[in-house]
Amino acid sequence: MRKSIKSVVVLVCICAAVSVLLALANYVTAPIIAQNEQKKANAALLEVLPDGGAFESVDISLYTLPSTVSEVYRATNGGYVVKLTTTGYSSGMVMMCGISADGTVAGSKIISSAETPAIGGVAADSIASAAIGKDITSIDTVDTVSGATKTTAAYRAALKDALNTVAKIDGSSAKISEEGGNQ
Amino acid sequence: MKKNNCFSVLMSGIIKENPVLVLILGTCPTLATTTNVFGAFGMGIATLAVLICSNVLISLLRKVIPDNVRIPCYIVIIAGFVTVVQMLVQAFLPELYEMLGVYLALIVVNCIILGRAEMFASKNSVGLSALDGLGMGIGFTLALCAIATVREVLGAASFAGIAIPFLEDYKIEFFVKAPGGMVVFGLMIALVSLITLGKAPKKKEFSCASCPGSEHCHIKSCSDGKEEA
Repeated sequence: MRKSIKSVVVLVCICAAVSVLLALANYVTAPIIAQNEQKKANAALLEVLPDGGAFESVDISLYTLPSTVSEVYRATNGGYVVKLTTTGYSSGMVMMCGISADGTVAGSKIISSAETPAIGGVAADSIASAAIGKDITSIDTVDTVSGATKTTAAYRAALKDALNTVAKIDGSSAKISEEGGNQ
Repeated sequence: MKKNNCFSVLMSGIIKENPVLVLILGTCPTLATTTNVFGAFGMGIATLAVLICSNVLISLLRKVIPDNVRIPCYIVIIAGFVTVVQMLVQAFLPELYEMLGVYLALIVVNCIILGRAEMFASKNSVGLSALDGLGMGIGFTLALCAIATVREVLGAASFAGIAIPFLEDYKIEFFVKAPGGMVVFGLMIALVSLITLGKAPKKKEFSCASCPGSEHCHIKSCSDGKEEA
């Protein structure tokens, strides 16, 4: 009996001591880890919206948006980053689109896709650079890359979805929110 | 005499009882994290840190921990240190954290650490246990780096991420994949057996005798080993 009580006491003491140690380690490292992750998430968003500053996530369930939109982030400078999943030559093309505060495309990027690297993949790069500065009315003027019609069309449609999404969120948030910071 | 003993404890982990290449412990992290030298080195150092800390603490507590709950006690201590190391790596070396992924947390179940706790730290003084942890840790790190060097140079034509220009055109991707790891691992074991020929410890010195089930084991050499030990 005494022996088993001793076992229990020792094990409990060791667990308690280890817990204290872990709590201390967590107390020291948690803020740094959170900061790192914030930085990493921001870095991905900054790639498509270079002058975005800091970002906060937008709750997309509040709006009726195109079904391709999966995540939306609002930047402190009034711009937005929209993450979409669309179908190019094959399904599952995930993209990030950065939209400036003035409603033009600031940058876009395919994060993952199953497009043919030498055809659709190459086409995507040239569309991405051609689309910079275009707004909702001029986005259709981006030339289709020959040989990669489907990828180009999907890319353009995705950018259009992103522009529409931002217009919708921006429009309604200006009406709803009383901050009035976002026109 | 005593100094000599310390030295031999330290050195035995490096070649004679190398945890990976002689005791064949910790095979999973060995195969998984040796695709590049940087990851292998990081894994080795993380394991080294956990090994020294857990060996010292378990050796300190060896008279306090009752025999019937020793395994849970060891696991709690080891898991605690691993989690601390994991948090530190995640905070200060995020690239390494990403590279090692789940294998960092899996140091908890790395049998080298539990093995050394059970076989060495629970029976020896604090100083010797720390030296044993250091020696085993260095042995683990060196073995991992050696395997990783072969795999990365031949398979990816680079060393610790630095490209080797001449080999660029002659990459053998087989070596970066799992089967290549197995082959290199096997060749390293063969090489070490060649070096330590005849000097390697007999099997019962490190395996069966310390097995908790050896008294009831049906293999005769096992129960014999227990009596001797």
